[in-house]
Amino acid sequence: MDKLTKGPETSRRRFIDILLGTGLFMWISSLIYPISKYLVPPKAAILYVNNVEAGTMSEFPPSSSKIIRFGRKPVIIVRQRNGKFSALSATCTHLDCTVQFKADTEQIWCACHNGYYDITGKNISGPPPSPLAQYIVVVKDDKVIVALEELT
Amino acid sequence: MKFSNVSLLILIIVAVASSNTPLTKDACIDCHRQLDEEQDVGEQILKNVFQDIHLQVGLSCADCHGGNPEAYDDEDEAMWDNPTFIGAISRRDQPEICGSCHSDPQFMRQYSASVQTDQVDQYWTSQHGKDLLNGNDKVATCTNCHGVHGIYPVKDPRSPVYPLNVPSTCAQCHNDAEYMSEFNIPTDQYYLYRTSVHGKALLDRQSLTAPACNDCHGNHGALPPDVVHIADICGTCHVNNSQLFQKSHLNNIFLKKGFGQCEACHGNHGVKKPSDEYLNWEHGAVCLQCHGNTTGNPKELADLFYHTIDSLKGQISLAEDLMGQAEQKGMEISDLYFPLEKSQKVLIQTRTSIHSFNKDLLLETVKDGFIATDEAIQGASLALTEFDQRRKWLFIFSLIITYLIVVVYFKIKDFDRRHRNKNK
Repeated sequence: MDKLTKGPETSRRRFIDILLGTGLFMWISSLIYPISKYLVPPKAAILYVNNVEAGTMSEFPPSSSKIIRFGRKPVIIVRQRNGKFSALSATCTHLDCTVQFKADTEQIWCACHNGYYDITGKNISGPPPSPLAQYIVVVKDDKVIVALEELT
Repeated sequence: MKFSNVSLLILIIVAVASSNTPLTKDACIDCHRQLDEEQDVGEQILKNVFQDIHLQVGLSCADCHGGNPEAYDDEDEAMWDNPTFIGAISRRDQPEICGSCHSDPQFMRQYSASVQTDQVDQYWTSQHGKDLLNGNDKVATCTNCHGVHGIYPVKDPRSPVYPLNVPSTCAQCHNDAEYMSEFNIPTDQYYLYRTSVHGKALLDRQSLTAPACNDCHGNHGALPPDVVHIADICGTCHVNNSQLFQKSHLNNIFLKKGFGQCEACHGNHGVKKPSDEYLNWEHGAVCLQCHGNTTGNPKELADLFYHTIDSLKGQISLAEDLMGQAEQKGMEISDLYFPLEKSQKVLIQTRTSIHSFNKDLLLETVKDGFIATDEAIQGASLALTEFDQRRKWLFIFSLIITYLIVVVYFKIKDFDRRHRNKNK
């Protein structure tokens, strides 16, 4: 009598244990995806940056310029004839065109409507209504770094 | 009673302070203002005389009109018997009378070290000046543009030649078909300008950097630009467009045929914001004005320009659409605005490169735009895929949890059953 009742109960119990084990396995497996995604996050969005490495000194001979990405904004780095650096927002304050460096006059020029800025970003001629935002350039161990604030 | 006396005194002080009573003793002004009021001639010519820049720097009526401004009680001494008296200045004499000070660098230097003193010389080279010399008094002289007996500095917004006021000042004559009939020139310039991209920028958006009439035609030396110089005039602001066109093979052809460079495609006073449809051969491209229904090179070039730009616009639009979808689903894609903005700037540069009529330059320029849009499209697509993955895994996870709950329920029931069996 005991054997008769014990047989099906044991197999039911084993069946439930298998189901439970399978469920736990699936639950753990399904956790692997978010955990792995958390541990290896997607390519980080460069939104709010304080400084950006623009290159080495050899990439900036005198009277040259380079436009780099600073967060979401383009920044123009200029190395003047005298070796000094300037970094300014590369977006014209008139209609958002990208400005460029005129090496002969050492000025920043916007080709869209012939707007001129001086090397400090001050609007000096043409339609730009306001100056270009300034950034700080620091040279550290042969690296040219553009920053929002003075690096300490 | 005492209070009402004080009130009366205050009222008198305020009335005196706010009245237009001259602080200077000038017989001309005092008498002529009185005459203005007595004769009730409608327009009071001396209404704004105290705001006049000349009066403010210490000049008097006599400096232009002659006469004796100190002869209060004797009209003859003030005017008719005075050998210096000129009276009303004829239109023909205006440039020279104004120029007696304004063309004298030494005299003008006391007011501003960098003041311009060539206005009269320039005026005689203008169409207005030439016609005046030929005896036509209807043309504009100094006072038509600067006003009279209430002349404001050019930088004063009340001045008729303040940039925002220039179009309406010129329009006083140039928009009057009857007045202009003898000159045989159109009178729709102001209407066209008002609807142009420049007119809207200046008059609607009050952008003082937008060109008014004088920026293309000149101020005192106003003339219509020569056909050969139109690209130079437009190039004052649109440098690259002008330079590319002047270096292109079309420039010489335009000059030979007398076509007005930029004007031939963009128009003049009514210049509109350019559209890419200007290149659409199937739907009235501006090229058809000269090329008619010809095919071959011009059509192929226009088609290439049009379809390349259209294709980049399509890619930008796709990127914006995908990025909008990703943002709406809460995905972080701010990083993609950099390549998107770059592609929009390349689109502007590509449109500019059209003025070279050189397909290699256009294709070279547009390349970076496609690279940037690809980056934005791929980034947004990845973000959308990521969102779909998250949703899919959330669904699977929910199913597993539900399944576990059900199994745990049966397990608990099984425990209960065993517990009851043991108790039995």
